[in-house]
Amino acid sequence: MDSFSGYLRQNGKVGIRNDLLILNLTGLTSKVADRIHQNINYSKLISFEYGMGLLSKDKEISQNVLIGLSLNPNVGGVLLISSDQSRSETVIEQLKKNNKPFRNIFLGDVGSDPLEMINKAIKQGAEILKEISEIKKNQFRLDKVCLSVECGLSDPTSGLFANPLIGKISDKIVESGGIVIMGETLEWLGVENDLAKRAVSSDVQKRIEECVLRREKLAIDNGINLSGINPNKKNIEDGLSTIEEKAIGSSIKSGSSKIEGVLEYGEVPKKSGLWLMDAPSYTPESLTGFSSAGSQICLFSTGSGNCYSSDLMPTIRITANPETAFRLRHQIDHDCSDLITNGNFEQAENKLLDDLVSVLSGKLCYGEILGDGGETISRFGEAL
Amino acid sequence: MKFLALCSSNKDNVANTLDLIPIGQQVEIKNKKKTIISSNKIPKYHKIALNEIPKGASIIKNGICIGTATKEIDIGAHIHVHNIVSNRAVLKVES
Repeated sequence: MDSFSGYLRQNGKVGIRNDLLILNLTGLTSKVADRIHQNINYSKLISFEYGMGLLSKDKEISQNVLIGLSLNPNVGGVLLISSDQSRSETVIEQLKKNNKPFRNIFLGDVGSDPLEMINKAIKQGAEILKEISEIKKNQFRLDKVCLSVECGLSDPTSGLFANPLIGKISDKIVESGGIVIMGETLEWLGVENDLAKRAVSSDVQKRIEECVLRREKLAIDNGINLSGINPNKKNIEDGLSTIEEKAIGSSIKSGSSKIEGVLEYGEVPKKSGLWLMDAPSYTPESLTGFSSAGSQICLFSTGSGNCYSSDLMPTIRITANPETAFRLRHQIDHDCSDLITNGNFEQAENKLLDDLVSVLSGKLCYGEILGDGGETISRFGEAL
Repeated sequence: MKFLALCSSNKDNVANTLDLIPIGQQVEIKNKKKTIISSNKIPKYHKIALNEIPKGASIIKNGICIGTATKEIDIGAHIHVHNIVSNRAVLKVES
């Protein structure tokens, strides 16, 4: 059986890394948080650069995503940084409920002295790391995996080879009792009927169709011609002609399982199986939605090469384009370009599954080694 | 040299080339047991027309419509943004 070694969290989820997350909740303290991060090895920094004036859906989603990121199973402990105590309250409530180690420091607590804040926060961050570094790893089955699937700077090899291969791994994770999440709503455009047919209920079916039509209407209402945006100029140069063609290749990453439901941006799935996330297509925003949803690992295909990765989720970059695999051999983690010549998906599936299990157990992705990672929380409207 | 293109569904009227194909070459369509002659130079991984496609007809890939022909397309021709257009998110022209 396929199993991997990971860190069991107090809430029953399993992390594949054991990071100290420095979560900065206010724009005023982002520089302070960055200085704290630079002084603590093995820490990850996520900064939310906005203040108190967020409204309605924007406010609700950003709050949920900050909670989601802090509860991602790859995070062993959290150091909360903010200018204002009230910003961290809802996050603290959830950290306590999930028994996750944390410290909370706000500017008011140190007489509004940023240097004092840095000093205190480094000490507290060091304490958390010391504590969480003692957690021992155990063996787990693939039912503990929440996999996210993404593509970026696709070319026709993505849709013909790399994404169908990812789809097979998606099916394998779902069959094993795990979770798979696919986002990028705009890239369901043209295949929404086929996705809707795979929905577990008529409600979910309706929701898939509504999400696609809403995003299509957004483009039309804003006078945007998708040609040149999605597909973008590089996609077109590489041979993808229309959003429908791109969507066929993109959506195949989801495999063939039934679709359990459509998540809001960053929402945590309530049960195992395949889920869609209604979210922007731009990779940094999309991956952060998955991190917030609790995904521990991402399979990320590219055609001509995409250097992005998530900071919290190890991101396995895959290409089926042999030129890209050769040219970017310190960017691409997994080369499946021999599919073009031998068409042997069974062999390729075994190879990718082996690689996935290795990364779950600790093998590093280039994005982790080279520090390419980031997290970008989407915004959904104006602020006061 | 034998040139190859890959077709994913029986319903398709396009295939993706697996090589850069010069004009006037025999192209074997994998999965379709068919050989056609390229009527343009076609870049690697781009699309080649498997039959004559009239203006206004659907372009089918993987059994799904990916757009509409904006002009008549010859068998063996390069299919891309110069001769097909998306059917989705089409802007309404104010009259």
